[in-house]
Amino acid sequence: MEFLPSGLAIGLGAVGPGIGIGLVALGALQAIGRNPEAAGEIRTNMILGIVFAESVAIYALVMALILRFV
Amino acid sequence: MQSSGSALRRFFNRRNTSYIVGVLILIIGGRILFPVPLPTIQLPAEKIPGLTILGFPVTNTLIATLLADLTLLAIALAVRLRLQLIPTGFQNLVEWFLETFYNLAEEIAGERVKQFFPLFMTILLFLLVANWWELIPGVDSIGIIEHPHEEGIQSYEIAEVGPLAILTPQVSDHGYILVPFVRAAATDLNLPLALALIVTVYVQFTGFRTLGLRYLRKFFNFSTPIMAFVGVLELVSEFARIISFTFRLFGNIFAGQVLLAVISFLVPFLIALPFYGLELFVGFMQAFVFAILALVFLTMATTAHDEHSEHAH
Repeated sequence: MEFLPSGLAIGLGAVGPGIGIGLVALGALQAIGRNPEAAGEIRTNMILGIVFAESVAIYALVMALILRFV
Repeated sequence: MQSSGSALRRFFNRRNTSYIVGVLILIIGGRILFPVPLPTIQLPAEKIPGLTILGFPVTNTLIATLLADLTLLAIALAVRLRLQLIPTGFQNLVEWFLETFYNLAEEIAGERVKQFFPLFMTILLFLLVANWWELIPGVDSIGIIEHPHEEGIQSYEIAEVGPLAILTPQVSDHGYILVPFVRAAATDLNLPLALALIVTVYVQFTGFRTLGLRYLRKFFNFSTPIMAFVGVLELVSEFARIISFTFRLFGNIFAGQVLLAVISFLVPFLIALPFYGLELFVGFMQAFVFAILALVFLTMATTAHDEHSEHAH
């Protein structure tokens, strides 16, 4: 039970970014499918979008680590 | 069906099979023969015992920061002292790197690229080197062995190897923990926070210098109630930026460090390798995102509010 809060923090915090990253990849893949010549540029912007979505999960991870270790 | 069956049989010929079995034995044997203690994971940077500068304790992340600085200085000097008109080898690589990012910055900042590029590139290069220092063997694993100062930290028995000592996986009540000499610079909350503050202050300063008092119109605009509310949101987001800058960098690098430690605790050999590749990518990506965001905020602050529609991409 002691570790439940940190587990919940990262577990619930990863849901949103997971969906978000999925949506980013969905959009990027559709765009590449329509316009394969622009694949390079789309990929760069996709990675940027993924990093921003991922950083939300990282905030949750920081909270989980703080709950666990501080 | 038949072709895939024969392809499988061709793949599992005697040589490939022996490789696979060897790797599996190495992984499983390594897990049993060379168990690794789980490193102490703690948020604040550890102080190196007995080492102070002007009364301030020296932390291991400070040493990592200085190492990153020295690395950058060494690279700069190595290129500068043998500067050639027609670049070859290493100079070529450095020039290609700078040029790529200069063009990228020009796409974002337009004609102000000359003004903003030094800060952008400094952040990018410094964070890149500082983040990649984390991956060098010996960082996080060579240090001083001492008793933990606080209660509740798991400590281990040590084994003497000549003049040195290593931690063994045996947990004990009055054991030792490892205080590494070098720990990735961005795993200390102070470094991302300092960088975020530098960027934020410089953004406000540049905004005022370029637009004068017009810059304030972004925050205090009482022409319509909606604009007044948007101004409050802008004001809050200026401060929220500091927090998101700080925790994005800190969280990613700290999580990377913990990930590498836990993976090599679970499986000592080979399995950690793909994660090193991942951390190479994350280290570059975080440096890049930090620098790009600083550049975007600078560009936004120097663009007057009513010019937004012209400058929109």
